[in-house]
Amino acid sequence: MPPAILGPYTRTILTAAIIAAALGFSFTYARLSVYTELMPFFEWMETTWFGYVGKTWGAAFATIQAGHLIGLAVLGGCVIVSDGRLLGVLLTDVPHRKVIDRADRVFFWALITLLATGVFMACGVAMKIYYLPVYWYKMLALGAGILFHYYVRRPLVAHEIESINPIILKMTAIASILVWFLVAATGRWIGFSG
Amino acid sequence: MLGYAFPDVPASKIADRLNIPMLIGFTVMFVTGILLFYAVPVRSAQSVWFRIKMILLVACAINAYLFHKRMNESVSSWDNEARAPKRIRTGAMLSLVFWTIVVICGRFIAYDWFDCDYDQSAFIDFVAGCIDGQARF
Repeated sequence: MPPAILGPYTRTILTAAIIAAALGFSFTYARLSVYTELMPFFEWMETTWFGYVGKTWGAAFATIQAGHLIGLAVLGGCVIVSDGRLLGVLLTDVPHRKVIDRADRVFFWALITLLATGVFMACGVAMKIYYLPVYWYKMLALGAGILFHYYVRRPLVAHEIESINPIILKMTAIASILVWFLVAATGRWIGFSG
Repeated sequence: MLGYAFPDVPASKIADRLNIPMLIGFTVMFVTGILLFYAVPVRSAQSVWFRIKMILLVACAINAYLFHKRMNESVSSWDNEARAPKRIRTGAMLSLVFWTIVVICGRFIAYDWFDCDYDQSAFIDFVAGCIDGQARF
């Protein structure tokens, strides 16, 4: 589809289409063939050095898990401050641009921390999470969150904030809070499963 | 306060505007924390991590009180500076360290490394308040 037809929302619509396709794929029988093929990869994860450390030293796993939580807390703080500003409920007398740019820089490093510690943790319990539906929900939510943040929210707020329709801005902020809340909630849910 | 985030926004403004969201977050944490404690009170109360967490929460409260008191007393002289005076920065750093350890201890409560029904050293027995021959709660 030529981008011109989609107008200024090309990236947003394509991102929404990718997320919708991923959801459609995950909740239909189409996923089963890929799911089975992924099993050797998860078995391999457990044999890696990360997997060995995670399984052998409970304290190492727990410490990395605490790092994961701190990363999540920092990321959540960035989302609340930045989206709270877009919603007009937080730091309303500090310019949008200043809040969004500063929060975005910290957000990036928090996300890197989350991903790095998350990979380590996944290696330690690879076969357990492979069979947990909620782990896959979390991965979907995380993928949607990253795509949404970098391909919808960020390009949108890169424009002059005053020139953007306030309703679109508020809807973007609410969607952002919800998607990251979903990531955190499904992550916590993994702990209660299996 | 440390000069890393929003160094060009007056410190008092940041502190003032984030006070209410911070209190809302604390209230949610406090209420859900009591509910979680109520679910497993004996095991929680005898967890070394829970005890460290409680001590640190008190330390956080004292630090927050002193920090705000000192900040309000002196803020007019450094409000627009990129870095706050040393004692304010120390308070901010302590706050970050305390809350980070609170998160770590909160996570560690779930692990049973020092639970009373395991054979523990006399020191852990004392710190956790274990009773001789105690069974798992």
